[in-house]
Amino acid sequence: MRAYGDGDTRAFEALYARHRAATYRYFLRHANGHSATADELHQDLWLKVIGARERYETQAKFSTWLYTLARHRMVDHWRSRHGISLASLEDEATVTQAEESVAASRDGSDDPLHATIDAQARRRLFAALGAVPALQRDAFLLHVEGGLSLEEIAGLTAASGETVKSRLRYAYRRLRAALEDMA
Amino acid sequence: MSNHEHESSRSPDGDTALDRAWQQLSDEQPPPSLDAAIIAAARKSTQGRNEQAQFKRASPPSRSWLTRWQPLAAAAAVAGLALVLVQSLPRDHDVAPTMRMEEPATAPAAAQEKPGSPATRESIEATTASPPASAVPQKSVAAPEMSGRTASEAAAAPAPARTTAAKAAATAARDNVAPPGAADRAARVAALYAAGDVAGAADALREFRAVDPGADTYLPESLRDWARTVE
Repeated sequence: MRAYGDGDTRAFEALYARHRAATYRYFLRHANGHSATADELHQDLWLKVIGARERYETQAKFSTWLYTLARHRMVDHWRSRHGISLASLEDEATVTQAEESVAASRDGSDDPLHATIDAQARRRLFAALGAVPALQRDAFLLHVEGGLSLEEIAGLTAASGETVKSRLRYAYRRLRAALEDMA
Repeated sequence: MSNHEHESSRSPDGDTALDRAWQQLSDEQPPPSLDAAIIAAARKSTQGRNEQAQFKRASPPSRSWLTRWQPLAAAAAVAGLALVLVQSLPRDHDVAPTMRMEEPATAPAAAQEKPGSPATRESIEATTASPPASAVPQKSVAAPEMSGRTASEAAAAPAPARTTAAKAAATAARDNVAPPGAADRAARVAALYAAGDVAGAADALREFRAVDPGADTYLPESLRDWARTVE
């Protein structure tokens, strides 16, 4: 990133090639498979990275900084689209509201591709993830897509390590249950 | 994605089956058009920066030239400003009156240093001829000439004689309210005498007596004894 800050475009291309798919899926999963939303958020994120190239300071891993930006963008999206604040995302009512929203978007995103068995599995897995409360889903996606450790997620989300661990455990349990249903 | 390769070691529950399933199923990529737009934005961003850098690399000669000439330009500006200030200040003739007020004390004394000098006589006449009230402007004209001459001519006459004669002439001019001609003549006699030109003073006194028989009464007290010796 510092090389890019010095004007080396190839450094940016290398960074982008390494992280593009993960950040895209991070948004896509949070958007419950809504690709237009994922496109928009993904583009916003990387334009922000480009804009911050000269201010970037090496205080943590690049991926931690990148997913901090990604998460902020995601939270802004939640606020603007659903009127949901981050703090309220673990409330039971909010979880229900999120699940309803997930179900609605899932119904609207059907296409012939999802008619295959893999597509069904994918759909069920992602639907299960969509039903996971946002903060737990976020912890899971930061972990499996962003490749961040528990400590990094804790620092990034301003939560304790134990909280992050319990969020991840909850997400895994929900997704495991979905996989067992498929089997 | 490379992050997927490390999932099994990081899962808190060690759920490798779930991680494997996730890796297989979660494989979406951003559309190529989106990638292209982002890369283009990145290139455009650095292009502007590189152009700025090139411009900076190209500009050093002009900047160094500016840096080199900046002190000279500043010095020239200061000099110009000083010149303007000096020109805007009052000239010598505007401030001279205060200086000229001091000249009467030195100018006659200097003029009296060389006895018999025509220039000295003229200057003495000029200084003593006019009443004190109008003396300043006239003296101011004569003073520069005298100061130039007397510097090299300073010589013989005793200082006490000079000062007493000058004082006497001034006193006579001030105290005797006489017709202008009589006062002038008396002053001239006194000045010549003070300058050591006794013969000249005697001649002047005789001329004075020819015009005014009571000429001796216009002379200073110190000259009256001498005047009695002049026939």
